[in-house]
Amino acid sequence: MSEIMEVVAARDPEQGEFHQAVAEVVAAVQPVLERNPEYRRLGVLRRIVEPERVIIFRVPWLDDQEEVQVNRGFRVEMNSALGPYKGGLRFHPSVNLGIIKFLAFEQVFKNSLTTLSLGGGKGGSDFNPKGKSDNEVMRFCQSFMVELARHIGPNTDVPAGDIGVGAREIGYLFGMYKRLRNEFSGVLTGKSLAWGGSLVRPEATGYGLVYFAAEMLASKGDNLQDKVCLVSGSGNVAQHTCAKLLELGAKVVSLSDSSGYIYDEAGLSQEKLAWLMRHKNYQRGRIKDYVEKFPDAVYTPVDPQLDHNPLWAHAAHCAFPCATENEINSQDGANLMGAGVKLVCEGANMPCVPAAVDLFVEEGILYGPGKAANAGGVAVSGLEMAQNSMRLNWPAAEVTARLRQIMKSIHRSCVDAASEYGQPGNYVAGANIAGFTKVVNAMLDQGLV
Amino acid sequence: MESYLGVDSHFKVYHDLMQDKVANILLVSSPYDAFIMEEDGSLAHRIIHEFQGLNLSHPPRLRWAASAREALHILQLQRFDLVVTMPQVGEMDCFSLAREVKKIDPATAVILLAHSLASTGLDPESLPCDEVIDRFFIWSINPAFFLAIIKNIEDHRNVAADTRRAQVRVMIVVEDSPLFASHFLPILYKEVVAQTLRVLDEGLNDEHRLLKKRARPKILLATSYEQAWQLYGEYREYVFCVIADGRFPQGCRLDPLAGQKLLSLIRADNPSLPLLMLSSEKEREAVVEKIPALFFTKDDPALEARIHSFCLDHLGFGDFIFRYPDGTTAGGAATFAALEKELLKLPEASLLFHGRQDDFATWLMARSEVELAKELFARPLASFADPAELRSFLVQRIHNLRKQQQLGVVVQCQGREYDPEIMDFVKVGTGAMGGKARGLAFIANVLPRCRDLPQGLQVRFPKSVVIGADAFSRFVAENSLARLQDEEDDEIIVQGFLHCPLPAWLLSDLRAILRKLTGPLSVRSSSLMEDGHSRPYAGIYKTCMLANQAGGQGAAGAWPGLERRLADLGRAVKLVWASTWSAGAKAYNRSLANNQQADQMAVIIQQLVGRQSGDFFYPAMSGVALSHNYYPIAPMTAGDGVVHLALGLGKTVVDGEKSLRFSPKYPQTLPQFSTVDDILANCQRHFYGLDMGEEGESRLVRRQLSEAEEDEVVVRLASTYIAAEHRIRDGHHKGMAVLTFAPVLKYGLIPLPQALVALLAMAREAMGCPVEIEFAVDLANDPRGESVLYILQLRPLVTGVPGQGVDISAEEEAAAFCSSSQALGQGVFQGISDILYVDPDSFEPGSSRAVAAKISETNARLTRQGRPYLLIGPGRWGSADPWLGIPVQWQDISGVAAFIELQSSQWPVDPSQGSHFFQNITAMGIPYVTVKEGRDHLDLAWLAAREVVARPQSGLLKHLRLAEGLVIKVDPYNSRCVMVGP
Repeated sequence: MSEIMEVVAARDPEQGEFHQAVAEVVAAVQPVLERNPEYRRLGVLRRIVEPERVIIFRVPWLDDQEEVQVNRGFRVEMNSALGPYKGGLRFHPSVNLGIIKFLAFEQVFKNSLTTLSLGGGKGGSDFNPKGKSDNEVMRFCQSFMVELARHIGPNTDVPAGDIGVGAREIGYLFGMYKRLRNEFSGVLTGKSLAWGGSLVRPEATGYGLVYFAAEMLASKGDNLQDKVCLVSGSGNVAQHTCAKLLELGAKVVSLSDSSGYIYDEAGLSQEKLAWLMRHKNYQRGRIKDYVEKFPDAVYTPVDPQLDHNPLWAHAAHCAFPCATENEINSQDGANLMGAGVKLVCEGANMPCVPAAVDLFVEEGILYGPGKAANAGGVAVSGLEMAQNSMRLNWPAAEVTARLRQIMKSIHRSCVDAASEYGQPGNYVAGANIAGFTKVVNAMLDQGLV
Repeated sequence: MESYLGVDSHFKVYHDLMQDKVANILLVSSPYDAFIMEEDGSLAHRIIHEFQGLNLSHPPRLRWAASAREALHILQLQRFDLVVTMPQVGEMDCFSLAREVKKIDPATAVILLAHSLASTGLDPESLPCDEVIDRFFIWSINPAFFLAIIKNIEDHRNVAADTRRAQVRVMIVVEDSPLFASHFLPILYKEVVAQTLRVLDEGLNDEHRLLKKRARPKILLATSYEQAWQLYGEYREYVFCVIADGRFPQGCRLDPLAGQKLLSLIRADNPSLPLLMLSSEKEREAVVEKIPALFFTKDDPALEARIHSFCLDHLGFGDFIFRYPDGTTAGGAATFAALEKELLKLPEASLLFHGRQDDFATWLMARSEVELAKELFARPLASFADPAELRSFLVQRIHNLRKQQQLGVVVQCQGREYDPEIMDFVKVGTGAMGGKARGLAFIANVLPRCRDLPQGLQVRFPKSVVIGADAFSRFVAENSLARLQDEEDDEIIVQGFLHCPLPAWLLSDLRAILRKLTGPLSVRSSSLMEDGHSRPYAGIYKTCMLANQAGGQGAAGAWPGLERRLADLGRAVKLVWASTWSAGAKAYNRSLANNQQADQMAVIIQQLVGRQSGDFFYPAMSGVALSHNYYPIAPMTAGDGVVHLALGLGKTVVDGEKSLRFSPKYPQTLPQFSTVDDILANCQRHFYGLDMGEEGESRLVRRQLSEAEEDEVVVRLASTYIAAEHRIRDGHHKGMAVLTFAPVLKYGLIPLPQALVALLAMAREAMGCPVEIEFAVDLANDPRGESVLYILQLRPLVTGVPGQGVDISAEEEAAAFCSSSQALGQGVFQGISDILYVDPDSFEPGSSRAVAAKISETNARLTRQGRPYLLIGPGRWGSADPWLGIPVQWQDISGVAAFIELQSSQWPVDPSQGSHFFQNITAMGIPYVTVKEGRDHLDLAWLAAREVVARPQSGLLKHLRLAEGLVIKVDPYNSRCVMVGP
């Protein structure tokens, strides 16, 4: 391990974020490396940490004052062993090669885990969309695509949105690509519904999370019916998690935002959820307003003096942290155990601190790590590509059914990998190993390329 | 300012007329001549008397010299505009004196005044005698004579400038005889002045009456054919009449046919110009009539009366007398308003009669309404399809003329005269208008000179009625309310006021006004204390809103709802008055060290801008535009100004609720609307409307935008959030309305940003300081309809240090531990002796949340202790993204006095912009200082040497305390800041 880290550090000493990501992956797959000497012999680690291609390019554009602006564009095509490079574009002033490489590296394993034919990549620019007019954003996107177009394609590299790249930017990028290549193809995902986008994208992460949880319970012969669920957050993921939980017969009793949380012992209903979604998405209101509308619920504001979040101390069967990273500390973890929780499934990215994760693994509860449980978003991107290739737009029910199938496959991969490497029921190990081995095996299959 | 005073406008242009006045006159005469003249009354007294009689200010000063020698001595010491000399002035003759006078100052006019032609010893056949003498007159005992001379000198001096500036009319009189000239001129001036005074009755207030006097027609005197023809050629388009003698010099010879030739030539040039020959030779009459021109004999004993008739009948002087073709009269009109009214019912025969004779045009011309007169002259009767078209054309033009005349003018009005169709801004009662009304009157006045207003958006003022401050004093006096002035209970004051009747005259005026003014009104204060460039008094006094819904006019002309509306209005006025003595106003005055006793209250009743939608009345947009932006973000500069825009009534903006902040010069640069999430987080969600279902003082209702999604105006101004795509699409689609104002800011639905740029520039220049304009916009439902930007208020922009920048000396720069060229805020800040410092070298982005938590704890402690502090740290303060900076929220740093944000290659982020966090900083005027590596300066060694009182987070966050407070200076005009430690 130290050997590969030395190589990485020597080659790109300034790319701190990338070093950290490599170290984490290598540590997680150590059992795999130990059991498969061919991986070492064939240099898979040295190959996998080196992008297949790095494109850095100049993006000149004229601002509204007709002043010349020059940004730097990146596309790191990290790994195409499983399929076309797939990963978002980020427009943000903090973007540099190290960050893009780090994100591309993680994307490879995320995509692998979806069981879809997706390679990994990432791109972006240090362009800051803040304060830019529509026309400036359009001119930038067009200039960006003039260079990028020659490197991407529906069978080569399929970028998507990320920070600073939403539906508007995807539209401008797609338009320019179409003009340059004279073809209408699924070269980008995140498109508008009218011209190639997929249904169920906003719902994908939340729905996928619940499908994954359902699979975890099913592996124990159980289901979500009548399960009391704690959900944190109240954004997109939390909302659709609630929606799917309600649909599958569970009872959701909590939601939160950065100010505090509500506890509704009677449980959310479809009506309450509809009100909440409008209130949060449109009014951008606070979660505490919920108790004004539904007085039986109780609101508890954040208490900075506390070393834990009382949300996680309520009696429940399942917990779905969907708010933010590190929201469940070791005390919260202990409280969850005390509250009788038997399943923790991560909707947010890394919401549980490592100590809490260790506790869950130790206690043997069902713990679904985010990299597997919240892969629904990536999965629907893959489904958008599939629909584009087929020139078809699936109805929501079909996309949802396929999403469910993908989450089932991801779950199966995790379970199988964990079992294979002697850690049955350990979804953390299972997800890391499954994602890694699938990519590495494909690389070996395809020879030294 | 110059550019706004140098351009024609309806009244201010008169300020510039008659610039060249005869202020000092030197009369040179022997004591004997002087004695003779004194026999007719003191000359000085006569001049002063005449001036006073005409209400002219500043009569000229007269000085007497007994001889030419004395005169020249005086002229060496003092400048005179006019020297009037008798033929014999001591040892020197008048011509030699005139020559000497011109040597001293060629601009000084010299007039020869003789008791008789014979007394000059000059040959009448060889006149004009000598070019050094400007004019030659024969002494007359007519008291107006001397004044006529002065006026005539002034007319010649000012005609070029005044015709150019205000198209002042010109009458040319050709008369070579000093005797007749001395006789006619006073008669003609009398007619012209009388006409001018008549026209003045249509002036709108005293100031305008005085100003308009300066626009009286000029009389130019020519003494030869060449002079006359030259004057005609020069002022051809301004000449409204030529009066000529029969014989006068042509080619230095007295030509008996000169008058005939001249008038014929002029007639050929202008077939409709009134021409008159005044001749002693009666036999010329037949020839003259063929020109055609009128003919009067000079020796006619009724000459003065004839000239008077000529002016009335042919020059359009006096009232418009409607006649039938047979000469019988059909009524008359003295004013434009009366003419407009009479035209509607004028019998067709009379209408056609006057139309055929161009009488309407002539009458207008005599009132200096040149443009319209010309337009009428250019439209012969035959060009109208029928009499109805002529009638409607005339009525519409006269109406527009009246409307145009009062633009930008505060009309002093008695209620019964009130005509909202014509009058935008009227004042009832006497006394001051107060600061608010004055600001509005001022911008209304300068607006017509704003040349850069874009097409496609009208700029107007809501109909406004100001109740002068005397009404308040009289109300208090008549009802013995002074006893309540020191009352501390506001409710007792309010009840005291409400139980007393309004002065009868005011009630009567308001009743008359309400007959014609219906629809929602705001009743606001216009305190006399609001004038200065100091505090805005925003929200100190009461404002009432009235639905003022007319119940419709009854069959017999009764107004069923009128008394109810009047009662509501009276009550509102009293409530506004009562607020003058409210505890809040008293406290505010105390804080400004104002003498509250001195505060009097004028009241503005203003028509509310907007349209009714369902039960609610509100404007499409309202807002405040500031000419100076203390928080400019590139590419904006401070001088580009900033606008806060909201849907509905302006309460949203003035109360600081969520509105859209943008630079009118860069309306598409909206940092707070950069992403979909930004837009959803920052857009306006509530607005204010007037509930029209309520009677009396109507309720302002705060509505959710979602309740009004189908209102036409919301449909036209909002974009749509498409949740399935997480995108905001401009325009009205299926989805949730999001108020972005994109149609206005991005797609030019109306040129609001451009209009605001022009208005701010104009107001700033006119006021000579940064300004704040409150406005509302009425958006036409139909794209081809007329949208209007209404200016509601103008006031000097209140700044921390009124009207001043902040000077930063070189010594302060040198002594500063921090200096920056990118600072937001304004002023000098002292008494800060605590610093919270996040060391950028040891800081890791991964720990930013933890640091934020520690800052929050320290903030809570320092706030409890009342210790404001300076916060220094890397990256963007208040960013929700922990990778960009320390993600504190407002409550975490509520006690902060100033920020330093460190930018380096490691933290290459823009300053925090547009966020709620940033808007709080903006609203509270807290300095936000960016220190960029390599450009600005922060002395880390100085910081390291300060006492550390706590390390809330080991190695990362330090709490420093200074022995004495540091000084922070922010110069808003240059975005510079220095911080100097003790």
